[in-house]
Amino acid sequence: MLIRFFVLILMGVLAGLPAKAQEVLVYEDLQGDTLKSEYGMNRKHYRHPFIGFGFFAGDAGGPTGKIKSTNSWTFEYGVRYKRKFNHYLSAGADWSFSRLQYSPSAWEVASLMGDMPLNSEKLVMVQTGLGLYQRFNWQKRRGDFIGRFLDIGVYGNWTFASRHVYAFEQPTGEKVKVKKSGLDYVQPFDYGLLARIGFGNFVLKSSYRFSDHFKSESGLEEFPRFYFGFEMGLHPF
Amino acid sequence: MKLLIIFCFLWFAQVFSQPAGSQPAGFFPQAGATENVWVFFTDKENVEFDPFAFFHPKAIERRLRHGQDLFDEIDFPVRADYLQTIAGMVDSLDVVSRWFNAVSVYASPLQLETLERLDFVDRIEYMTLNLLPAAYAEEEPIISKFSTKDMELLLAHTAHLKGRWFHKNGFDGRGIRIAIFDAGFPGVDEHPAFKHILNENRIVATRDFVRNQQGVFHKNSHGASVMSVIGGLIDSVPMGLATGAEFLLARTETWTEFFSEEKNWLAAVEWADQHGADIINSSLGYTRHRYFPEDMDGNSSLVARAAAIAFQKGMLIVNAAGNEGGTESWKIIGTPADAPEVLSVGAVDFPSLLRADYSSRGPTADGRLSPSVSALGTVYAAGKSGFKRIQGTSFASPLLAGFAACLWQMHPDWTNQQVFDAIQQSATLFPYFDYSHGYGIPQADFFFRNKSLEIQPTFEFEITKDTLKVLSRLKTLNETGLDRQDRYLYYQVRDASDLILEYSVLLATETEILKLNLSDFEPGQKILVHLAGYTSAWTFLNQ
Repeated sequence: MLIRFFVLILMGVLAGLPAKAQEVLVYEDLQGDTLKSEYGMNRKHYRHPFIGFGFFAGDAGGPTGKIKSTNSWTFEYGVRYKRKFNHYLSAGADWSFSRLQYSPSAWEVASLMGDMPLNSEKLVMVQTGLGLYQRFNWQKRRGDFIGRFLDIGVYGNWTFASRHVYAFEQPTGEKVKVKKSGLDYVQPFDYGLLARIGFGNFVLKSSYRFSDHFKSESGLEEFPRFYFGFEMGLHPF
Repeated sequence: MKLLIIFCFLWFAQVFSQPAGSQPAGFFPQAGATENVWVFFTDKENVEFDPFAFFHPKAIERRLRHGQDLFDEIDFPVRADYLQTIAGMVDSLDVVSRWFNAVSVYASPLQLETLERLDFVDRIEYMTLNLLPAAYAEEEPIISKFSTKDMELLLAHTAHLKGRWFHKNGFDGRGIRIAIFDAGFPGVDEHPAFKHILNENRIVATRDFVRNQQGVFHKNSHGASVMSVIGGLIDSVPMGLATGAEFLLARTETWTEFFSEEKNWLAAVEWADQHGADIINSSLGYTRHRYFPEDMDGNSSLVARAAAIAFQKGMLIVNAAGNEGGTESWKIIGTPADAPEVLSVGAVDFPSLLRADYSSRGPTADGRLSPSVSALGTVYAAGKSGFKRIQGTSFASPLLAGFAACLWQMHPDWTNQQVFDAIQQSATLFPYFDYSHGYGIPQADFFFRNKSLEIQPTFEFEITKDTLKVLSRLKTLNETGLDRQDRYLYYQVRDASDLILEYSVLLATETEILKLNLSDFEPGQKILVHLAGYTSAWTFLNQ
């Protein structure tokens, strides 16, 4: 019985093999190659991922809105879509996730520490958002690559997570780190203007935030509204 | 806030209403920066030209051999008064082209507007400075000692072309002048691989079109590697077939892997013509940074048109197919390899002798065969000082340039068209071709063996009720006596208008090599099969 079972299995396996097993060394199917593509870096549609990093700058909304600029930064990653209209003009949209970190230099928490030295303090916001932009290219002869461009646009973000973190040292020498999430004084949405100048994969970005980060009833003064950063388009050179 | 709302409204209105290209090309205002453009002139009236003073005697001889008029207006210089006039109207003049009756200039948009109004200016064409040559190579560190594998590869440079047939019959490209366009030739003036060439002063002229100077023995070693597989020698072992040829070296590229100047290619081809070049090897190609795949029709780019003129003047242009085979968004050959007058060369791997993954495929945008032929893409070549293993279609092209030089030396009365055709006919697959290998790898023995020997059929078609079988007649498929390459079965399916729909290469190991269901084919479709030198076709009729 067992032997018959194995013979049947073997026959089944052999029947499933191709009649003549020849090794395919090269194969090309050209039937789709004659279609002109509408997708490409300088074609009608294109999308690519990107990453970005940058710092905040400009005047704060008051003395307590000042930040330590080198420790206040944003990292973002997202996907950018581009719709080409003609050789010089495109428009598109970005969908991105970003992590904003502000390091306030004069928040009240510092004074609350008394003699205890405040080691660090930061306000972190995690956002997702949409950007709409108008792109201008100015290279007269350009093949299928991104080229040089200027983007002008708007953005809107939703802050879906926020956290206030500070660390200090007690007189006993013990180090304490305090984390507070879901901050009720942070505005859930922000929006602003953006501008980018790009050279292929390399992009310089600037934005200006119109909306406030903090609810008015919190009494907190606004952080600087300008942002300057660098973006890397993750697409072929 | 109002501003943002207005922007969003305009953005949506635009994205969801306009088709691409619906606005005129000049919609965006011109930038104020200086442009690099070609200015084409209307005529060459009253220009004096003495071909005997201008051309090298070899260029005169080549023209006469090809039945060319020595006083062809295309060779006349650009009118000096035109150049003088516009010199005062632009920032600076750059490259002057006799063949296109044009000059490239640097000028502001305002200056260009004024230029366009001149009676003797025919048109202005924009160019970009940054272009991407398709030629590409992955370099490995220079090694000082030959391993067995390196030695095998070195011998394969000429062996896979059956080059010993040329050498044993005394053909090494002597008397043939080969121009090489590349990114630099550092070390060529002292490298041991070129000692025999230097000893006989066979580098007859050099020109750096990037720096506008004579010396070329600097910058990127890509050109040195290319030259070594045309005519280099290592301890009397030939690295290429044309060890006796003369060389014209032109530096046309600023950085071989990324940036280049297409206009330098144009200037170099005219320079090569003037200096009597018979063959031009160009291991360069221009792709997506300036063009789209649909532009690869042999007519859209200026360099393709320049290649056509060069061919008309009797030169043979051998050009790398490019290394975009693995790039899904491009994949096909670059320009000038797209020109019908150019012998475009794809790369095959060693030791399989099947297309390399990186090698650009055909057909051209207008459906022509390309690459024309194939050669080894992995070579053991000269670097700045030592030797290195390197790959790319950049190195398949010079192997073929050396082949062409030997053939032309053997038949000095042949025209470039005859050499072009003969190279294709000598290739392993001819008359079969596909868009990866072209006609296959040219074979030197084709020109020496008795051609009256008929090729014996190596397979036959067998039709049954609902299948078509290809059955091998080779009795040694599984025996070691047969080269692996002789067991490659090439086949393709064409539609009723002879357009290739698909092609493939199989390794034949059994008598029944291929079995196809008749129901998968439409009436009028055709299958072409090639095995070990024999090609045959089967047309599917109404069932």
